[in-house]
Amino acid sequence: MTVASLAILVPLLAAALVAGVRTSIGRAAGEALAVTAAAATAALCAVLVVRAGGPLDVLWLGGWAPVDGMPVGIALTPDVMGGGMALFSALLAVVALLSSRRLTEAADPLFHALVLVLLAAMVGFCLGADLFTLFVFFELMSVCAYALVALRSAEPSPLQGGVNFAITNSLGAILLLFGVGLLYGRTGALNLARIGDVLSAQGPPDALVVVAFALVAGGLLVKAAVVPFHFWLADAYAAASSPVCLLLAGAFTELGLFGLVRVYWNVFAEPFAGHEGAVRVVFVVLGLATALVGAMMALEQRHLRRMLAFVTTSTIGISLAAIGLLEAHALAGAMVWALADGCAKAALFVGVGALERRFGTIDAGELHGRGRDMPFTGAAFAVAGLAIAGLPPLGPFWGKGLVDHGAELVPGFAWLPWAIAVPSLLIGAAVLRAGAGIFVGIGEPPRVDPSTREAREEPEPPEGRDPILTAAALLLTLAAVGLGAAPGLLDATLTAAAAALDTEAVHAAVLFGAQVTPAELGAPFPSALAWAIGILSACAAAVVAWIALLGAARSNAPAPARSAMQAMRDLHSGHVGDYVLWLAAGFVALGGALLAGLT
Amino acid sequence: MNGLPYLVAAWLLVVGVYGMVTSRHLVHLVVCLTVAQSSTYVLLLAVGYRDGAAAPVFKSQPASTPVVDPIVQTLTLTDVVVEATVAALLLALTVQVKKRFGTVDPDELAAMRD
Amino acid sequence: MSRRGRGLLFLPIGGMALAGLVAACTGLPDAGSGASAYGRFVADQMVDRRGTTDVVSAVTFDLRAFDTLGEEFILFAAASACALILRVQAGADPDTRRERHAPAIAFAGMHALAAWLVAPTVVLAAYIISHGHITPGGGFQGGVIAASASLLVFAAGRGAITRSVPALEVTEALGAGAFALLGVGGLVFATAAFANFLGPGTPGDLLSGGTIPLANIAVGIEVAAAFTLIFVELFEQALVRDAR
Repeated sequence: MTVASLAILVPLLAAALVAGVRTSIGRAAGEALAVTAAAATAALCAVLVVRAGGPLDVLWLGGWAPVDGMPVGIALTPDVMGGGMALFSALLAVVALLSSRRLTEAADPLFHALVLVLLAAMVGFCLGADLFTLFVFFELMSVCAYALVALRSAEPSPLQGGVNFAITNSLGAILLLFGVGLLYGRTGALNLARIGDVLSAQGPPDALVVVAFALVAGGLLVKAAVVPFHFWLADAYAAASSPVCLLLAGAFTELGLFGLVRVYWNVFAEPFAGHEGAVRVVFVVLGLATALVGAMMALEQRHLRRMLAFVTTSTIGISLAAIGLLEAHALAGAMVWALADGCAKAALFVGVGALERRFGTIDAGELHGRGRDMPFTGAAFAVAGLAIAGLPPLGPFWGKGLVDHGAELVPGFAWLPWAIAVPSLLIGAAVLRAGAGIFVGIGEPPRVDPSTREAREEPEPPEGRDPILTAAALLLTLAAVGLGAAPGLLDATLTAAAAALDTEAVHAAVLFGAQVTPAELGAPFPSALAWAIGILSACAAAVVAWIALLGAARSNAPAPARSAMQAMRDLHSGHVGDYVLWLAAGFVALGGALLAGLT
Repeated sequence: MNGLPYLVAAWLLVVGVYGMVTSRHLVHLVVCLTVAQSSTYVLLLAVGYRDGAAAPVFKSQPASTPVVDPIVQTLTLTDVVVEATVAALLLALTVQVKKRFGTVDPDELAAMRD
Repeated sequence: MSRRGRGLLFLPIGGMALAGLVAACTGLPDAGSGASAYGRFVADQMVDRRGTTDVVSAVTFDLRAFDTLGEEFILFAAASACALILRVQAGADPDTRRERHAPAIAFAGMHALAAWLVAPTVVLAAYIISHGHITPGGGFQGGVIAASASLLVFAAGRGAITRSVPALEVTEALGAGAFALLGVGGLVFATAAFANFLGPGTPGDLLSGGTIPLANIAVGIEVAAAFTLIFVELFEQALVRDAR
């Protein structure tokens, strides 16, 4: 399985090359090299995905096979889920590199080198099967992201976003490592399958196992920007440029959830058997809380990238609620949703980048009505907004359909599809409102509310139209729309999800080299209820957007709602001490809830 | 002696985070982050320690001498390098914050955001 | 939220966190009770399998070389980004007079002592890097010692070291690339990435351990360049401030 190792080594070598020769070659050559390397990585990941359909092929790095059944080396498990996520990240990296052609901070080829290292880290994280390897690549991803966000901080207000981002995520990583240390102390192993085996042989989970899970899951959820660890996201996105945001929103935050899935099903699923109910409650509640907070904050924002940051938070919450059902259909649905929605968000970020290049600002108030002669970008905005709201038969709807099916299969969660529909229609409404206001000029521009604390960004000099950005936005929107229609994608995703959930089979393959072919599953067609919810939420999104555009909502809202919104806005204060406090509180709450439910 | 290193690790973590929450200076905040990180070093090394054992280098001792766990030493080494570089990056950002805003007090920085 | 409010709010949270962590740590085996089976495997078998007497180096650069790859590139990314951030904002400042030869520390005894110490430090660093697979030490440790030589140069009053930044960046990339190439070498010459494709040799010899000494040298170069780069960029800040 040289392909898996090459998929990580190629972007790293290319990054070292680009960084090494960057003073000798021009910007264009550096860019070309970077795009080629990213495309090559995407090709390698595609080969991985195609080959991964059969039994799990475990790669032991350094040639260190397990000795007497004890894994001693580092394993890579290129399964369909990991390979697919790696492929998606690679494709997003190519788009990000192509759309960064005119950025000022990309003048130094170090930008391209950092994107390549970020890509390598994401691929390594997706394929790794060792807990410490996951930590190292988690940190590598984070450091590259801090660097990419910070490169733009020649301007004042984005600088704080970069600092907040770096500090909160570093603390999350420290807590993750503490959990890793606890697990190593208890089990003496770092291989995920081995840790899971040893833990399940030790009987019901005690305080150490639960606290270790809280620390590891919490650390991953900090990266995924789940409430109350989400405060850094809006600040960081406001600070970063659109291509970097695209990569962060589409891949970086999703990988936090991916890590959670990997770690939970390989390590903790067997020890926690019998207590799934408690785990479900914790994650579904966290997911819904995140989705709602994100949706409500998104509707308030004038700064387009901050709005998209809260849209991202909300979609992560929806994915977490789906994953929290701990069921194959729901997990597959979350994966399809993440892919299609990731494309839609990427399209929106590219569109925002196009607006910024054309007009030099990304404030919805200043842009009101000025986008009338950008019909394609406007169409991309509208379609992406409807897709996010869940309109059938656009891409994300198929994911939702699978999640709904999963919710029916889990006792006590049949209400979840309705609960998920609420935040998705609200974020769809936020996008539609922004789009309609900018590209059509409906309604009045959003008033400058003196009580809103938004980072004021200095306007960049406007440059003009960029047809490549418009084309990229359209392509991504088409991908978001058409993803559900791709033949066999839903079936393949369901099979992959079921394979990932099958802890016994994965352990057998990793520890004993067993060759187990996963059973092929067929994805059920979304039920009539799912279609109804989808159509209803899309219509509701349009209605909410209309009301918001007419400006009636803010002045007519009842006083308690307004003060609640004000309190929530004040929490997003931009003060790093506050963010760390909420992070600590979140960890304690997560640990306490899990301890209560599992011991 | 049984559980004392673990208590030290837990205490360092909590104290480091307390320092971060109540910090008045960004450099102090980064150093508190370092303190919190050092709790992981103590935890890892304590997990691997073996009473009366030697260091895992066999240059001047026979290969059968009991030694402490070499794996955690590698993990700690990786951890130290990662933490040092993140701290360097954060301090570079702090220098830039001072240049742009003239202050490194998080309270004043948050107030300036409006 | 005021500072006092945050502090007060954190006290119960910190208390509960401490209680939870202590409860978790009671589940750990007693400190001092011994290495895990994984550790004991390494301690028992690495000397024979890889011919190195420093087992920690063998773990870092052979058994768990992939983690070290990630760590190398974290260093690379962070150091390069630091350099770029500090340079961008230093260059944007209009009234900087950078006195490259002005000593920042004006104490002649310090200059002499520091200048005298530079060469021994570099030799020590080279020794530690090259003997990393035999005695305690290795690429990381030796690299940091080499980087501290740059601090000594600064203390000796030679601000001109700030001119070496482009060379440092290239060296850093070279070191990182070399380590990744060793991984590819494992793919090309042996079964898997990061496989040790040279023979183990006799334990205790300078040329033993296969690719481990090579990895040590690559890492040593990279770490020395990266940390020197960070120190040099921070020196520039100090020099700029003092020159005003």
